[in-house]
Amino acid sequence: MNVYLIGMLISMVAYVVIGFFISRTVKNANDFYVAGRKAPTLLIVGSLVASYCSTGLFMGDVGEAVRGTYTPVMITIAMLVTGYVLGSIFFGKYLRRSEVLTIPEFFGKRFQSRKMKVLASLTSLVIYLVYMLSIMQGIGTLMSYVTGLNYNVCIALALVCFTVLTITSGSKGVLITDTIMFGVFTVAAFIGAIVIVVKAGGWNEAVSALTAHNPALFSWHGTAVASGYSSSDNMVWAVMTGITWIAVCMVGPWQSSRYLMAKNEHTVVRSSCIVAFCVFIIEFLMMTVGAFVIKLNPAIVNEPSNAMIWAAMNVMPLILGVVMLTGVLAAGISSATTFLSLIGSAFANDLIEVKDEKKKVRIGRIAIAIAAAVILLLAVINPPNIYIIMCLSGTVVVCAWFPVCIASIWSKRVTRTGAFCGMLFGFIGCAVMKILSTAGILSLPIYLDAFFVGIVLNILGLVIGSALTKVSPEEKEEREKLMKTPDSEFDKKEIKKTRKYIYGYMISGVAILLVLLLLWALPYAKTI
Amino acid sequence: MTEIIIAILLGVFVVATGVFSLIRFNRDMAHGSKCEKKGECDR
Repeated sequence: MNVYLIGMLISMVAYVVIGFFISRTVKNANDFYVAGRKAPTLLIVGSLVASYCSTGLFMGDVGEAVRGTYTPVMITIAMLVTGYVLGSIFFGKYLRRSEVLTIPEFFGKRFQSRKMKVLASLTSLVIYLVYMLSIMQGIGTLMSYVTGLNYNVCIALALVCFTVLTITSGSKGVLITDTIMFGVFTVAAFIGAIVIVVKAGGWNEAVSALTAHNPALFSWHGTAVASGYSSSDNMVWAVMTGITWIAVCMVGPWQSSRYLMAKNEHTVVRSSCIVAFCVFIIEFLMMTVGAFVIKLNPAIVNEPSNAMIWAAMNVMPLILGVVMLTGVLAAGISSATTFLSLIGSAFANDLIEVKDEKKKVRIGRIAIAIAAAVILLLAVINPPNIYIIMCLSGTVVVCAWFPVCIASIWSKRVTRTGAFCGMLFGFIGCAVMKILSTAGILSLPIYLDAFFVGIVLNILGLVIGSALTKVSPEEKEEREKLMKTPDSEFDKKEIKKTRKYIYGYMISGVAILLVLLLLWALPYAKTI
Repeated sequence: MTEIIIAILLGVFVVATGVFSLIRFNRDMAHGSKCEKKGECDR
């Protein structure tokens, strides 16, 4: 049996066993859906980073760097991390304050409208399904490439692992295993990166050699210019995508829902400050070191997404290679558990309003099992037209949610009709534009991404809908409740501590500047 | 040269969002403690 397969199987069994032990502490719906609302900063950080880092980072983003869009993607990453802190300050802590189980429930409560709750739930479910399919693709490709097993067997194995884990332990188990997996893939990424850098002859030597070989690889415009895009097109794309992803990190349901589990509002703000730096460093390290793999194996440009996998199997010592690949698998599984638990809560808490606590947990578990079966079926059959749905990335749900999330907190005038129209128009506008451009029916200029079309339509719906209706006394009361900071948050020691985290985040901005300058821009400028 | 400018701009952007967030956080805490005392926490 392949040693990588043994490593992966052991890690999957370990996660299931841990999940089984955690399941014994799940007593009610609060435990199952929001981990008892007692999670400390470490667990929220672990879950946020693990939800962000899936196979898409270790294979997709690394592939982009190898393909030659290193700088545009790096700009997007440095921009998006700010979304975590902005999101926690302007949305996350108010979401935590509302004490709901899901974000759709937050909309329903804030606007006193079941329609809002159902619409938010349906828009998010579409995206969860798309994300789950893309994660399954990543896990299947990774496992079959490494182990030589049949693709369908690989996805079935992984799916059984994370479905059992999610069903038994719910959000509590997801939080804890996410944090363990975060530790596994972060350690693996750091040690793996050191080995690749050493084998590539040192950091500066690798940047110089690759720049001499291909001057465009680390340049601000990247090699994509060779594919017919202008240099400025690449920059515009990077900034536009950066803005889009700031919004995704601010209110994306698989990210901001983690705040519902935080033990208080200070935990929300503190965790976001740490996550911003962690995400940047992991992305920077993996993308840059991924590009270094070209020096070790120039042919990797023909299969860029497999750069880290190839390095783990051919450059690293055997044990480290196993840990690295197990870490990449952990990144995929951790994202999958988050999405699967969100699907369960969307059904049991939002679409079917179950009052009884035990029944709510039971229906959530059944919904997770059914969703897993549907996802497995779709992933195995892989219908020819599925690519049309797969284009609906996280940006679509953010188009539907972003202006409504912000307005629900910061606007006195927004009404349930305005919020409903905004969410509906934003979702339809963005989804239709994405589908038309993917199908080749419509060609959008680079500065007019479907995201911006959706956001404009969302704001129009919000403004027009709110102008035609009046804020009800119940809506006014709900907003006033949100604006009232709980007494427990006014602990002077806690405030001082949170302030230190925000200072730390600002210092991390300086660190990001130095990392980019010393490890990318200056070595590149010296060679060119 | 462009790469150096991009690196500086990105770092400055992150710091700027930190300053913005700190101002908002301080205002929330100050406002909260004042209006709590007066019992008029609507902004």
